[in-house]
Amino acid sequence: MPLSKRVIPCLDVSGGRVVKGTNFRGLRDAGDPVELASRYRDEGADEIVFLDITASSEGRGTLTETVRGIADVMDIPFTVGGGVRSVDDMQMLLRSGADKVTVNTAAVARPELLGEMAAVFGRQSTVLAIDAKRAGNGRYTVFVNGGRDDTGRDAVAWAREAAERGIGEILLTSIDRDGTKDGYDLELVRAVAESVNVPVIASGGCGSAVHMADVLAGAADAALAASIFHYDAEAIGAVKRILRERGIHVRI
Amino acid sequence: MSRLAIINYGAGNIYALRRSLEWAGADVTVDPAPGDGCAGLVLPGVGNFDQVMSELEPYRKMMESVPVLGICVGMQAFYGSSQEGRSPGLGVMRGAVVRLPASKKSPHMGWNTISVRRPGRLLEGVAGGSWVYYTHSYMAESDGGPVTAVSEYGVDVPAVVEQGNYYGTQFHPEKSGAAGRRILENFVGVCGR
Repeated sequence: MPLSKRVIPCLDVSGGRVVKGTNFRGLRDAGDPVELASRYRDEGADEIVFLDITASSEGRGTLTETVRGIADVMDIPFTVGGGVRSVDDMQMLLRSGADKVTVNTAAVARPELLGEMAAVFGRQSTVLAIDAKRAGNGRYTVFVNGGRDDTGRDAVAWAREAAERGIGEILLTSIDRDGTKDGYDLELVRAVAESVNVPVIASGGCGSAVHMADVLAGAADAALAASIFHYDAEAIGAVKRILRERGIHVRI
Repeated sequence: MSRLAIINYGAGNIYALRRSLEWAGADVTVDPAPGDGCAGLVLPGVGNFDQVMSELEPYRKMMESVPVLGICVGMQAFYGSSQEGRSPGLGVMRGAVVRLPASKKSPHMGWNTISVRRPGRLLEGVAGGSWVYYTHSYMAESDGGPVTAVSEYGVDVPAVVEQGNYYGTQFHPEKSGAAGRRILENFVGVCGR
């Protein structure tokens, strides 16, 4: 059997805590990223993405402690993103034990950064995060600063450029769908994934296992979701069984 | 307890590898002085081919006398050459390292299963069909001699190799859950004999 499609839960962290959307039964501390990461791993997550939503520099110090704590228990890959501005930022996270690091705003500001990161740490560790929004006429533009600022840059063209600069993966989030639970933006995912030769993780809009099946049946290599895995709504194992019933090749 | 040494040639994450080797029962040091006594050497899967070859230079003698585990690009170093770089490889295994097939996305990133070709020390207790985690853009192209398992990615990618005191995995055992842990335990076992 070939490479499987990946199911990736996402956790927002700040100040050493998971900050939203988690309410597992039976956990003493619902907001502990290490405990949640272990839980997701045991349920069959293929990777885990942690997004740091702290803006302050003091918060960054806490982040490396959090990453170290996660690395101490994880025997599957995990990615850390949020606020990464430089090769030094990336080094700090990798040294703490992250396998991959995502970069977004800083790369749009200075695209050469992508090549520099890939040269120092390798393509396999360098992930470009793209936050894209529909601009009409089938076009999507890239947003930065947490989805606040429209750069006017075409998302597909940016994905292509980043792939040429040496990144190893794209984390593609639809701003239109994010938080809606209406399903992934399949057109956006197709447009980007069919334009580049690197893996694409689809993100934004997942409300059910069926949504995940829809996007993974197409060009996406992996699907990221947050809310469906929280509040015990869906266990990862159950989602993967549904994916397999629908003909998606997943690791079970 | 087996004392293993990791050669830290890259700028990437070797924290997970170190931790996993400790879980597998090893006492781990990083960047040993060449000539230091250790029961086994580990070449981690971070960095590029030329960088790996230049950093391995002081350890060539050591590598002749103890079990060596190469992971990802560390395993690719066992071959004579790589399309990723200009340096000659160690050349202890016949063949060359080439780009993944152009028809496939690169890196080959994620979970794939292994098909066992022949028994080997690293694969003791690891069933065919076990899931392992890959992230690589180059692969060994070899005559099959040292290859004990492959994974399918457009072509049969050598997944596990063994020859003499050289052991390698193209995937990352430290990120491959239960199967990876068993493989590392097997290597620690080899070093302890």
